Amino acid sequence: MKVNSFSILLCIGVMLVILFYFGPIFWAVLMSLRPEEEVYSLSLPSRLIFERYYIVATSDKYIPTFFNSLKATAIATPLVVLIASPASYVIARMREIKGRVAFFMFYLLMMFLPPVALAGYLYELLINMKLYDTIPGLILVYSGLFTPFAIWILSSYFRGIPKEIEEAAMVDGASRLQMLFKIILPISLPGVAVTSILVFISVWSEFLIANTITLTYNSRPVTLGVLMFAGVLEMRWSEIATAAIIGMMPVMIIAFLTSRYIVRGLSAAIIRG
Amino acid sequence: MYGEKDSGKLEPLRKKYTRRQALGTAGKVAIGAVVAGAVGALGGYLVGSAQVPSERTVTVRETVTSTVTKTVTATASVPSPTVTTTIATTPASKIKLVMTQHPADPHDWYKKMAKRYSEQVRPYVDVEIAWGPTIGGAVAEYYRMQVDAGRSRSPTLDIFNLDVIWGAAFNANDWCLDLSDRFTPELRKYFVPAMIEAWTWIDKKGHERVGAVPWMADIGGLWYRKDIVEEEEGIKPPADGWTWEEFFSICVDLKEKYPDMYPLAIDNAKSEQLICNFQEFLASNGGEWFDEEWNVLIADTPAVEALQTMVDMIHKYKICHPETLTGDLELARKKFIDEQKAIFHRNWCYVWGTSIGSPLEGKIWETLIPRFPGHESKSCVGGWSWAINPGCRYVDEAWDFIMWITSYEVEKEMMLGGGWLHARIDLYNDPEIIKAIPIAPAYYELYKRGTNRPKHPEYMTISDFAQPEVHAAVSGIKSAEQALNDLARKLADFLGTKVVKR
Amino acid sequence: MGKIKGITSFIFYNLPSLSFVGIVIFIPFLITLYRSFFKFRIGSFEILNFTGFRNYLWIIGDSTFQISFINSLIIGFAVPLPSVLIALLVAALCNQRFRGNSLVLSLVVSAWAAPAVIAGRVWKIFFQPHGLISLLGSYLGLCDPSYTMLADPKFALLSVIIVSIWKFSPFATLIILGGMRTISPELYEAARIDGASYRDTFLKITLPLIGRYMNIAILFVGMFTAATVDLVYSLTGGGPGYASEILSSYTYKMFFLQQDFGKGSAIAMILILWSLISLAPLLYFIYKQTFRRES
Repeated sequence: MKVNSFSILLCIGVMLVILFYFGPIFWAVLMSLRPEEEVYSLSLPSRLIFERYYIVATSDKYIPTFFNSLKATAIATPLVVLIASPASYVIARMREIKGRVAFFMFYLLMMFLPPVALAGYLYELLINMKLYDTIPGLILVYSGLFTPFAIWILSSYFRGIPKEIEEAAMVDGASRLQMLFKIILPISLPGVAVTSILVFISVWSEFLIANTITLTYNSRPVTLGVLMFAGVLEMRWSEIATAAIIGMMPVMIIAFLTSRYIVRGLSAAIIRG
Repeated sequence: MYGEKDSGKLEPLRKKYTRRQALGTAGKVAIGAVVAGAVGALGGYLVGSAQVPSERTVTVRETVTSTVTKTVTATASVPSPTVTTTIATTPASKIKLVMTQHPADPHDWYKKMAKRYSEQVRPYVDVEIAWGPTIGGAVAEYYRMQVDAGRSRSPTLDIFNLDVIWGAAFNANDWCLDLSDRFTPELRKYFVPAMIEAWTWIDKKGHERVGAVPWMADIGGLWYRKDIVEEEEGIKPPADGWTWEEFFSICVDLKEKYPDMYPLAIDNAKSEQLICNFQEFLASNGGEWFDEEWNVLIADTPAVEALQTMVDMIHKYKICHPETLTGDLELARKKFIDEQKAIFHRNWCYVWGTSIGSPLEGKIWETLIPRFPGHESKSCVGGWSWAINPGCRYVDEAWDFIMWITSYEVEKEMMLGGGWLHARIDLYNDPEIIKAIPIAPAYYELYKRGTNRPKHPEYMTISDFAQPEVHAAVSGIKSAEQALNDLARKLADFLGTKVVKR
Repeated sequence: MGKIKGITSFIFYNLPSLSFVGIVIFIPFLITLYRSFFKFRIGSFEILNFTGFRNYLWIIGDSTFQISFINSLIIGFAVPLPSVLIALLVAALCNQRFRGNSLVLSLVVSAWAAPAVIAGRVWKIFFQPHGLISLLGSYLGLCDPSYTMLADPKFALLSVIIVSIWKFSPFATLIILGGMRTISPELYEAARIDGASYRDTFLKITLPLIGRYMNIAILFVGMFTAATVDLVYSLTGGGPGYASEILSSYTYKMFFLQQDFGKGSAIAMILILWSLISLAPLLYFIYKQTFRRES
């Protein structure tokens, strides 16, 4: 590797980037492990307290929220993909339907509405449907909120599948439904996977709507749990940091492992529209 | 299964329409119609319910037998107060009750009592505490959490812990269960009258409903340095309190004799506390905020006099500590207890606990808030009460828990163990209590003279309107009359009523 | 016949999405629009009174609204522009060929995936007195260590801006990086053969070609900034007084702290209008991109 001014610049750049983006998270991990008195100190911790993770992870002021998130996300993510697939497929493919552009723009518009604006009525909606402070209620709302996003990503994937494959299948006389299952789905598996990942990240990170439609630990997700957590017995920043790290872990790990696909998926959606 | 092929021709996009495909289409149309119909109906229902919110009717639960034949009778009697509850049959599976708790629980009494109830008193009931917003978080969020639970009739939160100023809101909107049939007038006698009054509401049908059982009582009083006032100066507070004039002249005298002390440490910053202070001045002059039809009386003479007296206290007689308009309650208390620079101090009951272990232990006492001539002394009431969510599925068990935790022995144990001051006034004559908390008789006198802030469902907004106006008056920016006129106009505007004078 | 079948299929396959989106997004939107013309407070015996545009007039005169509107304007510029600038540099970095290439990208993406509220909570610890930020500031001579930006009315919004940039710039990076990767390497080869320096290739080849992606990135980050309440909520809660209140957080507070659904709906409508105005270019762009290309 040549060592010239350019590569030195590159090195500095890389270090800055990692410091800026990952630094806070790394520091939070450090805070969660160090003794409470040293939480603010800039020096290396005198000792590492790993038991804190166990304490926080078994605290019933926090852990129920983690499982609520898990339950809600595990059901909402496949549900969103299931709902969005047919819609994105027909939007992407059926050139002969003139209204499909309108449909697509409609979904896009719905995606860009700030959920805050809808929060007022969503609260009443769930009360009227008797789904307030329940996990099915969360799932319902998440599905509605993230379907347009999934449609956007998926339809760009479907559009990227060469038409010749479908035309060949149609020559062989397959019906649309068959085509969907036997040919499109296998090919678009990467697209479905990327969509699932992005939806998973979005659902797990969702806070505001969850704040309005949940009440107790019955259905509170982990984003709320971290915000409301103030230590197992008393207010301790180190324990708050621990809870935050536990709450962030699933999404961050998944994002880290699949970052390549995320990049591909998002840029494909933007480039291809 | 496949469409018929055009023999020989390659036209991939043309298909003949077979019966199967026709059926498929028809099926899709049918399913589509059904789904569209369902969604449309749902949408229509939601839009409809958005237009006219359902009329809230007061539901009076039948106390008597339910299908599982459980009869719960709770009796609390004095002087041998025991709670006897009989439950005919115990259900097979465990029942879970979820309650909220006041954000500050210094000795963990909520947790301890919930645990004891679950384990020893009623083993088949599990009482859990739903953790609310963080302690630093606003009490407003805590209010919202319980409003949400009551409004939505959510079965996930059964028992509420509510501030006394939320009484009107919860009662008028039916966000808590009407307990008037269980919480009989005989039982109500044992609790602080002003708190019962705050939780009583006459609904549209003329039926009187009681929404909660008082739990922790807090009341404002005039703390003072017994060593200075009584022992050195030989001044003894009268049994029915000084008048404001008398009090001010005493303060002016003391100010000359003790130049490095402030006669009165009182929090007059722009906050809810200011309204509590104002309420005491107002009530001790016989003034009122509203009449029966919610017309605004706050610009009337008694109120103007009361506010003017407050203003004089700060600006004419100059007896308050310098940070009275900006500092908070804790600052005022510190001036009194920690810095020992104040002779009198207007505050709630917890001051006694803070004096234990300080140099002032045993040197302070509390007396009645001063009054206007011809009227009674009044102290502003605060505190928390137990209520039940209308959506609670186990009302009998919830009621049983509330009766147990507000019973004489349980409350006595908590009070002796450093817990809150409870709202059962019969406790304050108990010899053991008096021995542990010598100031109990003083509290008793104050409880008898409680006054409530306006009992309107929108009290929080009323307070939001009132705070800047009252503060403008006590800061000297506006005259008392001007401030109250402005306030009256704003309130009348907001409530849709008129400003009247008696 | 085929046409009817086609349309039927189309609508049929759209039904699930339409139902969910309709119930959760579209109908609430309509009802919120409807309610914005009524006086409706929870707790005031819950009666709807028609008041026409009075809610909107009240809002325009409300000082808190004015503050939040100005703040929204401020962060509408202060967040997307630096974010995209930073994203450009980071994307350029990740586009280079070096060994840790994908690792850096993975780290950035995983930092982006952290939920906004939780990240806000963590950053809040950094903003405490004697926390990282204050120590850094005192080291630079800007403030003393016990300073906390969160309680300073002048700079509370700055803390929101900083954390927003941290949270949203990775998304812009992904967009720009995707754009960079569409540039065929031959262009660079040709330029290098002609003896161009790196700076030249960057300025004359890369930048113009990814210009449109930068625009999209700015618009997206702008949308996220307008819609987000998470960061404001967890960092400052609106700031000391109302110093760091933005439109979206004020909407939330009006709905749920003041419990005034009439005024809240009106503010919500203003928020939606605000988002749509700043998004119209984006929508148009996606529309062109998606469907014009296919002709």
